[in-house]
Amino acid sequence: MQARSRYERSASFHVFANEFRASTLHEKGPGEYDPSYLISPLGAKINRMVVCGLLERLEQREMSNGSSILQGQVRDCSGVFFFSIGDYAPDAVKEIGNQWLEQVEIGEVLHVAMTVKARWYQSEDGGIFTSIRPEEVTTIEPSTYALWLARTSEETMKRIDSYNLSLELEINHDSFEQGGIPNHLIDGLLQSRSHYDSVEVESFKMNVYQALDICEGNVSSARAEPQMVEMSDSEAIQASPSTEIEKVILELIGQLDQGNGVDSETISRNLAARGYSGNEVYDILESLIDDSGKLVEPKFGWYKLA
Amino acid sequence: MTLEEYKDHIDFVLESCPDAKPEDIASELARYENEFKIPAQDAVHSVIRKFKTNADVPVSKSSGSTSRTSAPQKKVEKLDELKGDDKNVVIEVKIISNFSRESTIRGELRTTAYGLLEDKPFDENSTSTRWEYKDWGPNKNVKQGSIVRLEGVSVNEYNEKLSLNINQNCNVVVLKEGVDTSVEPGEPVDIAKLPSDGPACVVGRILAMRDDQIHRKDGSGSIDVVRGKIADSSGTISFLSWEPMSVEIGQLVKIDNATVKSFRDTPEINIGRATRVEPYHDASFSGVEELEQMNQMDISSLSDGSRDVNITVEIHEWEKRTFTRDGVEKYLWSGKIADNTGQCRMSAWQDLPISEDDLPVCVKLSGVRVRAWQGIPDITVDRADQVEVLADTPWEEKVDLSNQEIEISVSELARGSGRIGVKTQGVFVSIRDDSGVIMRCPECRRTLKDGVCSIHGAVEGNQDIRLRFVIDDGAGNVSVILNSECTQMLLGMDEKGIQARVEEMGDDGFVSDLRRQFFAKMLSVSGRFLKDENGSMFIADKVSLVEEDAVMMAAEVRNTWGLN
Repeated sequence: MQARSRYERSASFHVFANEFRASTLHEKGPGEYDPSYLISPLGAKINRMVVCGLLERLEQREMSNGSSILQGQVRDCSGVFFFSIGDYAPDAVKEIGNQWLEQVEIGEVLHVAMTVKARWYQSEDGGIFTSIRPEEVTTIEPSTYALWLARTSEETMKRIDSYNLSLELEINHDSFEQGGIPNHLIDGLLQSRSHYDSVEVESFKMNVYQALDICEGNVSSARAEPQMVEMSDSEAIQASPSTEIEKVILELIGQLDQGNGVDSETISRNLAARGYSGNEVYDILESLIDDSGKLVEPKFGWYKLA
Repeated sequence: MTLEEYKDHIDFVLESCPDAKPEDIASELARYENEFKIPAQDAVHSVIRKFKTNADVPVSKSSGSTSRTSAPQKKVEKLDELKGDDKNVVIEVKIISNFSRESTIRGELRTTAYGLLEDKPFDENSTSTRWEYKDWGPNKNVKQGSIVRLEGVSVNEYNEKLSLNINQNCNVVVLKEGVDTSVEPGEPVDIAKLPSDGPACVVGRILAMRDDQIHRKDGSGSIDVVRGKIADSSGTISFLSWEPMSVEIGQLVKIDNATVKSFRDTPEINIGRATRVEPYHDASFSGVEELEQMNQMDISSLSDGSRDVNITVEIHEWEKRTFTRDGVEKYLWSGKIADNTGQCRMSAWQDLPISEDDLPVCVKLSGVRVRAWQGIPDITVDRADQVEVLADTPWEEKVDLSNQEIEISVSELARGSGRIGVKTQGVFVSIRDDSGVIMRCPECRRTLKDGVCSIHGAVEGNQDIRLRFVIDDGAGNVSVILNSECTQMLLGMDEKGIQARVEEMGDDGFVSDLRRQFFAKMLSVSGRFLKDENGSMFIADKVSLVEEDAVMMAAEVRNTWGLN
């Protein structure tokens, strides 16, 4: 019986990239085979997920030990999931990954679906970077992506509802259970409530609005338009990566800032870890200060959110 | 045999640990698969770590500056295999108890821990040996109820009594975490909230009680016990007392300092010498009849090992089966039963006043017990007086066995025991690579691997078609098996069509294609759900892709949550 419970497959969450990437709490039990979890601000205790979206970037990367891995990102309506397909990935995943690489190189646009395990990396300064490790992957029809958006919207709303309910409740198991929080969310919500200081419920709700608009065919009214990379004119392709870097830079600085701002070297190192080359980073930092006013430079080489 | 089977994995391990013996790696991989159900590809890293540490021990010995040499590692399963001077022992044990103690050692106040541990923690079928241990750490992983692997412990012999010393440099690997047993003693809890393993204090009314005997398996005699059932308004639980009970049926009692242990899948209160059973007074506590009424079971709530069950069911099939045991011909009655929550089986050791022409017949059963096969409950009627034939069914219409589809969520199904006649739906999240056209052994129907049956060797196989996939509802999942007929139903292709497709695309291509077709979509299945200690599966007899429309679903989300 012990063996059975250890082998039980974890349930698959439906979570938008934004909620997933806002996760900074993780858990790994003391046991040899204990599953690991990432706990989202809304209390999703994620070991496994179903992820759908656009395959936005995919490239081969040589590792120092001579092997090569595939690194890429899948975009949903709220942001991106970073994934890598390494040596230990199942053969079927590696094979499809290589097919994708060829397709991406000739500019094909792919909607993909994956079951994945949640992964994270903690930098020296304590920042948590999330990524996903695919277990099974496939291309899908856009209509299936829409189904995923609808399902993920429903699940996100359930979590928002539970989160809001929990604000009125004492933070303990019994009170959550009696307060009507669904069983599979209780543990995660207990942990997230004691870890995250303030949860921006509204931003997760915005993601739901965007997703529902896309489901209903009103793609233009969904702000983070997933078709962005589908546009083939050169301007759009130029625009999209730099907006992406801007977003990542702002996120990084928000996460890493301990009060004095973040130095440029830390920023470029963290960006490099995510596959952004350093050359244009300084230009973008400058433009975030001068053009959009989103950053300030309190002392030379140190950046802070405005 | 295993050497061949694990060839790739062994090579993988050998790359990191060139000195390890292939046979040892194979047996370790087999152990992970058989004991921990960790497949070889997942186990290799643990195996590498194991062989590396083994290899490292002599290295650190030769290069270390201390003159102390470490004893060779001694790995055992049973405590009996250990001698008084054994050191550097590796053994898996269950921590039965753990108490901490403060003492002054060489002028320093130190906390140490001690208690009892038990060997063979995963083997439920043989008796375990218990030893005392001292934990000098104390190590935080040594917790009551935990199953741990102790690495590097030593045996202590004192007055011919052996015990284990867990030193500060020992490694303690948690294999299964203990149940939190921080329950206030003497503070009664609701029966429904009792742990399935752990200490118990309850207040309840005795609903049933009888003397019984437990026969020792080795034939060395029997022990007198008392069995019964106790209830409060939250639920009922069986009890087993090793001591005579001086209470009566119907009496309200407080049972303190007892333990709950699970018999098969059903928790049971164990009353021992240290347990206090005393009369309790509470005029507002529910009476016997009220509790009996509240604790009527239905088929969906039966679990393996339940006793003193009261339930009303319809008998749909009833046949006599004879068999020979110890040269004597015996018979029993058995058949299919149902209520409005599901279907299962029932067996009776005495003749019941039921004729085949009257079926289905509704009966009220009292004090019966439940066994299960593959998780499907089988109600056992030991005496005819436990059965009362009713004129009518208590629910509206008689159950239609062939069309009964009790709807249940995937996660609820996954949590419960086996069920027949259920319908569920979930998102398709995984398909197994061995789906598609397979070959079966003509003798035993096992799936052949490269034309070889694991029991009957190389055989000429029979071709079959099946799909294996997982559906998930976000809180749980079940693994579904479709037979050839169902696969054809789902794919809208006949056998020939499927074969042609597999030939064209190859086995892997076929699976990839199904993944593309069904991934992230909702599937509905009807059939039976089997569950035993080897895992669980849903054997579907009907399957369909749920027609979904994103626009409609979005509108529903907006309505439900007021997002306009």
